[in-house]
Amino acid sequence: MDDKAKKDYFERLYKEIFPVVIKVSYHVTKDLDAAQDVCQEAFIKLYNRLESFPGVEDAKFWLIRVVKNLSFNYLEHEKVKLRAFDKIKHNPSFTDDTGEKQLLKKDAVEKVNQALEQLPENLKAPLILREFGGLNYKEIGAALDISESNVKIRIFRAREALGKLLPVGEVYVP
Amino acid sequence: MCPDVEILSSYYDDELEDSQKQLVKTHVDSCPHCQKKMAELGLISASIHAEEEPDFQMAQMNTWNKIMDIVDQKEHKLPKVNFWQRRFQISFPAAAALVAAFVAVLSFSVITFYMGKHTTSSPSSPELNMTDASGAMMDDMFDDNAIKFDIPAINTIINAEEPLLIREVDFMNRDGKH
Repeated sequence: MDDKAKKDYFERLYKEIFPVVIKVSYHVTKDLDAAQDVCQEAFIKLYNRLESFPGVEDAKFWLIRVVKNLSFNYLEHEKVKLRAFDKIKHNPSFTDDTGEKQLLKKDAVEKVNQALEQLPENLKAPLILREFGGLNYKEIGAALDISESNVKIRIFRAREALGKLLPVGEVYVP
Repeated sequence: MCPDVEILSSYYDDELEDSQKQLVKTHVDSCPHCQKKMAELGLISASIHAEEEPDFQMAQMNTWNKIMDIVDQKEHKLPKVNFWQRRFQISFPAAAALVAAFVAVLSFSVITFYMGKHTTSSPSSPELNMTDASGAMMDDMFDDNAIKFDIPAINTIINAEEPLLIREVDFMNRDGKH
């Protein structure tokens, strides 16, 4: 594969996979800059070993796994920093809504984020890949290197745990 | 009998096989309990998606540009140069210090060499010590026209042929009294 062909193939992969991995990374880290850095690092790793993947799917699942791992690593470091400096996390701003609705929405988002933070990585990762990455159970299994039935159980357990942490009726849903 | 919530979760994600999916659908349509469970799953999913998402398209463009910068930089970097072909930069004070050190070492070596030569060149006078040698060298090195003082060498040994040590016993009698 010459340089031109390699770059074209890489660009094709980037356009296909980036929209998935940036969402996954963002919803793990809750920080867009950090998510971009994570994706950048993962794609450069992919470019350096592009020839070692036999197909697009192999590269895609490998990349998702790398992004997932880098994102959770970042989150771990951030948690340490937060404990040390009591830093206030980035909260997205809401410009469309006003007043009570805005407050309710903000409160709901905070509660959901807090609940998601309490999930262990083995439950949170498949749920995020399902909800934000839009991957099916088979794809999640390939990305996380676990069986499809294991994905099914983990997603169910993640939802069950969230259901307990977010009692229906207490959380505002837009 | 109601299906397990795990099955309902898979049904919610549309991950059941067609035959199983039809059975679950028929049951849920007629079961208020399972309908409530399905509504709860929907609420959990909706609450997860309640947060507004940032502009991912802009992020995609920015990240692509950064990646390409890094890739291009790597591909266009200078070829590897051998150690002996490399250029080194050294600051002026460091260079001056190195030159000064070199000159000092060189001067010391010359002086030492010269001293050694002068000493070995006069084997007929073994009494000549380092002070004499350096004195001669100083004479040669500095000023040939300067007034020189010849200090006579003391080479006469006065021998009185008498013992220098007078033993106490010589002043004593045989019985040991003075």
